[in-house]
Amino acid sequence: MLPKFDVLQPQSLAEACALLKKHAPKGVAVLAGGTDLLVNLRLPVIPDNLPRSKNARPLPKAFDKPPAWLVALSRIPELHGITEVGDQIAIGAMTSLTDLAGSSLIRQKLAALAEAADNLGSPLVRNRGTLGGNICNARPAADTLVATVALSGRLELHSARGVRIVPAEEFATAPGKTVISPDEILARILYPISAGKAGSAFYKLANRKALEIAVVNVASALVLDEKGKIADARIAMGAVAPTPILAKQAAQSLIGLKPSAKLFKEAGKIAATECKPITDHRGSAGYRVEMVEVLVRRTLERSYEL
Amino acid sequence: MSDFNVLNTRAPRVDAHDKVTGKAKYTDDLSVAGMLFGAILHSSLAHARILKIDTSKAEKLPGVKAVITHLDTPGIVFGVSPARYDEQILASDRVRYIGDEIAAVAAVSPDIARRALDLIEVEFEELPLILDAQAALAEDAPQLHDRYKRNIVQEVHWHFGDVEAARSQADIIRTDELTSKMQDAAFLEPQAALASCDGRGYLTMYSSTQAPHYIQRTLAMALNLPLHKVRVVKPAVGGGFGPKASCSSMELITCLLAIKTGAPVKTVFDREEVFLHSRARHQFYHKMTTGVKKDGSLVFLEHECTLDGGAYCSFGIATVYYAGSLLGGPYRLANMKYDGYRVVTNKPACGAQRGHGAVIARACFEVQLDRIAEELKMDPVELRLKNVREAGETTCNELYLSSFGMKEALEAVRDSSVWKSKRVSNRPRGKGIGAACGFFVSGAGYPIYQSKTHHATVVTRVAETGGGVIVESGAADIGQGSDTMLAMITAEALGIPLSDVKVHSGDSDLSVDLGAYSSRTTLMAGWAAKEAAEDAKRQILEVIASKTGAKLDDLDIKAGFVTCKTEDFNIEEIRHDHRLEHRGFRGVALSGPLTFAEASRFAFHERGSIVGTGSYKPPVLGGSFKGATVGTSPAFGCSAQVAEVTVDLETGEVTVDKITGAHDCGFAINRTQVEGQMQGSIQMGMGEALMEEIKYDEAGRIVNATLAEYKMPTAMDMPPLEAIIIESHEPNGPYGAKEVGEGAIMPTIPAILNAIYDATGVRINELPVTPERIREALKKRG
Repeated sequence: MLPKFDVLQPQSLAEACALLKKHAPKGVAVLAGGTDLLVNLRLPVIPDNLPRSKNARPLPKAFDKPPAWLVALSRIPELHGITEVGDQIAIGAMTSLTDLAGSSLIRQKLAALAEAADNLGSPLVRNRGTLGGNICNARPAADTLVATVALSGRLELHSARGVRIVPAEEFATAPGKTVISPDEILARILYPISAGKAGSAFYKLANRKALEIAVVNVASALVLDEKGKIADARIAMGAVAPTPILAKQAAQSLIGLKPSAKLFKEAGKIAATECKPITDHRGSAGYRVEMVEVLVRRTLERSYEL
Repeated sequence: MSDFNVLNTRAPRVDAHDKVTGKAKYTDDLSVAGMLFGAILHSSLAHARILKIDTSKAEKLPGVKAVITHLDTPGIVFGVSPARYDEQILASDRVRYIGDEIAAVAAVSPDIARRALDLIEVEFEELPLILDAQAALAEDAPQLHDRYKRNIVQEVHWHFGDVEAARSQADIIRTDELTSKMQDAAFLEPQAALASCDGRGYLTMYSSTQAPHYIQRTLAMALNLPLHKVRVVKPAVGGGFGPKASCSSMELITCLLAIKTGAPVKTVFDREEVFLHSRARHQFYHKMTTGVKKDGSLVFLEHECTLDGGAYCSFGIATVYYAGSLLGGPYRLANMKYDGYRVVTNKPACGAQRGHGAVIARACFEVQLDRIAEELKMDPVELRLKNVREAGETTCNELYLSSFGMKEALEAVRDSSVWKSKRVSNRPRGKGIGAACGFFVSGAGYPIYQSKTHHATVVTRVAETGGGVIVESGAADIGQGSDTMLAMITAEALGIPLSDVKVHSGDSDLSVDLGAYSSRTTLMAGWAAKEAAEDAKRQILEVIASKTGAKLDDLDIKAGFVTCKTEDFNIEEIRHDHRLEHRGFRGVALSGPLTFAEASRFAFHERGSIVGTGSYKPPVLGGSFKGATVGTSPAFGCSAQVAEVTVDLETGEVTVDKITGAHDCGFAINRTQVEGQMQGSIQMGMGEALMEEIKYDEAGRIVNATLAEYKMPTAMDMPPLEAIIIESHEPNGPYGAKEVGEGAIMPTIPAILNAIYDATGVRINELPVTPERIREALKKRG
């Protein structure tokens, strides 16, 4: 069952920022597609006031106190759409995962992001779910956040106070927690586009082929120089730390070298030393480490093929 | 060309239009003026003494109409097996799992009812927990119920033939184990109930149930009401698979709240409550030792099984018996020993689920057969073919196989999957193919309570208007399509078009039907429907014979017309009367053969209401040993499947590429529905093989009590399925029909496990076989 709340529907980003500022002290949440928020708002079947055993694992809780107001972003035109301007692609935070996965521009230039969107949830979830929502939900396994980190995405945060830009890898601070303030809205995500040969790939490892939360997910992105050597490399890993993280040493090990199966294999091994997974009901720490090695190698190989 | 007009076709379901357009009403869709909403306070602790329950604050919340605790119940224990009634409607002094019911509220809105729960205060004293079967059986384990010593609800010790003597005849003896996890049946519609009590004390409950009859009995017993004043009605139901076959505390609570408030009360489970209530698949620990001769013939099976069944007995006695008895088939096996133990733990109670008790036992045995085949260097399908039984044989535990297309089913999947060429050729690493067989009852031979009751009765009333019939049955269509089956059998037996048959069902006021469980409805309710239709037809033809002077034996009804073998069949007066009373109606017959509309209307003129009745009661079945009743059935279904898989050897991910299945359903009443049951069974079996698992934390709380976190195969996971129908013509079933709803799940798990072994070279003895478990096994092998 859902708690009681009121929904506000601003028509512009400025109005949304003003509403957030106004209601932030009383408890407010931003409603994008709702595929996470409305699930997280549900009241537990067994009331919280009943005693729990000391051995019980803590209940996952998105809110200490349910918000009294939801600010819905669906009617704000500037939050929708994909635009390519110069050496960057800007994606409105309210762009649906279906639109993202189906965009030929994204498939061509930000393949890891298209693959991440395409592997998320189910068709119904992808129709409602948004890029901004998935990023702001900030789960350790958030598919599009992992891809965005690998693709050097930058997040444009708006508030009544102004605009600031945060690199994707600095956005999440803990499971479900981010640097975003209660009065801020993620408006756009900006992705740099390399002029040279570049490719990226995403891999989600899970127990089934849809409606899944990754046991491990990895996104890799490569840029080659004119001589075919690796000029830039980024590898992002999900579900192996409290937030999506970069495998910096693994990426560094590739720079200036010619791509090869051996090189990518070694990078996988290095990445495996850079992750710090836990054991939970989705998978053990040991298996996750082992899979990072495989998935990093595979995504690098596929990034190179693209 | 078929001899039938209606049967053996792919007729669309009678409820198809209403379901796809959203018109079908499920319990939660029902709304009555003045209706209140029920909510249940579930225990937050898995094992505790209740020291105090304070409902005073909840009672004062505006909009709350009733708050009840154990003190408001008649204090009568209930359950499934009368010998093991161990459940209370609301816990009096002790809770035994997280989810056990403590108190309940009726309020004017669901929101107020939920807020009232927050105001109920409970003081507990925590008790030591038992979270697995081995701990339950330990010497110094705390005892969960005073009556269950060592926490054992039921032990079974069976010995058929002579296993000790047989041991010396075996050339190969091997022992293997398989363990599984508790499962959730994951039906789409969470349980819901709407109860009301009229001024004369007649109670009516609409409920999402598989078994109105047993629910009616339990309500009457536990609420201390006369049976005939309790009516249970089943609206459209979104699946059951077993857990909805027994009466729940929620149903009893909803009735109590309705009685107490004098208002209708509706309670609807949240998905999390579906998980907490469970009553789904037990957790099984199987150990089997099997001996075979060099030529592959089976000599003996020695089988031990422990079942973790959660906090209460539920169906547990039947489950532990089924886990042993159904290994009596489908193979020739003269010596079988079985020791089974069903224990209680501080987890949600387990009950019956599709393939009741037999699914993991079957998986363990069929995997072992493959291992034996490997030792013998025999093809696994050949090993099975060497041992399969045929119709007319009786198993060592006295199950008589009146029809049995096991050999045909196995040969069909072998040939259709091109088994031989796929098995011998050099497949790429990670590709595998595996086969397995299955065996299941077609309706339990005995009711759950000891009784000589009929298992199914059907009343077929010929519409007094003429032209149609109304079938009244207590049978529960829970999505499997039994209403369509009843309509098709009635149409065929009466000789009228399917469109002229209306089915009223799922209501304890209409007839007796024990419910949709143990794959019994087609055989039993179908039999009764056939009898009822034939009875009605005979009565109509008697009237026509008497009027026209035709001989009864010369008359018949076919495709909506009365036929007569002789030419002097004079229908003029009947037709004249019919035309006279239908002035202004279009489509009234003016010429041609006598229509069913004319004949049935005329029969009403002559005799008043024409009502045909039918009933089904199984013959006395089974041996005289203790527990011999469980596993008996008037008929047995059997099936074979071949699974083809691809395993990613680096990650352990499994893709099921194809499953070819053949099932002997005796005779397909509706071919599409038979295939649908096979496909649904395979989906459920695939989930159990590869991903489904209820997971608990150290406090006994389910950590994946949502359909997002409880993984089962999606459409994206399902492979192409080839469903082959085998028809062995069962003499004890209507038109030769027997089960398909549960038996078809039996081969799925072992066929997949055998295919994974074929692909990887590793055996995994713990279900589900997740990518991580495959990787572990591959690493261990090195």
